[in-house]
Amino acid sequence: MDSTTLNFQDISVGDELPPLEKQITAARMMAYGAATWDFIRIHYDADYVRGLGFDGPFLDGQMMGGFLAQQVQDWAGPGAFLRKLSFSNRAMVYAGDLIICHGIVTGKSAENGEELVTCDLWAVNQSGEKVVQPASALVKFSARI
Amino acid sequence: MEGDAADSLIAKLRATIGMETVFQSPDEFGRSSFRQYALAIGDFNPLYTDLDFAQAHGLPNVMAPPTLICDTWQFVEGDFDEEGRQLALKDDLGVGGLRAGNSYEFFQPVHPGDVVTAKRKTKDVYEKTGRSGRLLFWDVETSYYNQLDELLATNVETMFLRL
Repeated sequence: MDSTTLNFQDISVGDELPPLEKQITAARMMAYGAATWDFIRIHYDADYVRGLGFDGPFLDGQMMGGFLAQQVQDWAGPGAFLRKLSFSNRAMVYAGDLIICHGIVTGKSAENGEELVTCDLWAVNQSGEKVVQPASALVKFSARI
Repeated sequence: MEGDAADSLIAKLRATIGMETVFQSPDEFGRSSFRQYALAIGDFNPLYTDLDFAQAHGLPNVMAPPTLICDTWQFVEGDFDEEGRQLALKDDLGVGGLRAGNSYEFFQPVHPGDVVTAKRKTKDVYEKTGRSGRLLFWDVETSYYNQLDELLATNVETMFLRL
């Protein structure tokens, strides 16, 4: 991770965010449940979740928010503040999947001293299937508050 | 789901629109919860763990990974049941859905000493017809405040299930 913050003036519409890859493992799914105090069995109990008609324990869809926030913060740098983030899950994600998050700058504005950048984001799995779309972020490059 | 059962579920969910549940965290966030969430995501940004780094980038203290406050049930007190659901959330909606998506807004960084109050309510309940039949969606909005009653973040979660 680069420890410098992007210069607002140097950002252009059409700039691509560096892709972020995440190998999904049962261990990471378990760690996320523990870290969020979420003990719902559908994310770790294979027999239970198959009994409900699913293929196996699946990713908590909120983890995609964590991955996308990381992608945007890594790109923008430590001085930038993520103001908004939204995403829609399109497909189930399972342990063993490889997720790749993508993004592109779609807009810039500087009004009332607020320097803001909007990005479109999406994520695909190892088969190229969209697992998150649409998604978007609003990043503030001027003072956080 | 039979038509009657589906209609009764929709009516039950619609009845919760606007009803607010307030969760008051029994303690402050704490630095280790930031590190644990960042570890689970695999996000090793020093903003979340390194005080000197955070201060060099204009923060008074380390900050939470942005989505932590909206993703955690840390502020809910009490035990959980055999399904893994916190007992205090049992009456939240009474149905389990799958996640269609989240829409977060962040108003200021969250710090280790913050004691969170979460205010949660159903915002909307609606149906869509997909290729596989009737789908029920509902939006739950949660607003998060600190001990100074300052708004930290809001999150609209969209959940769904097949009727």
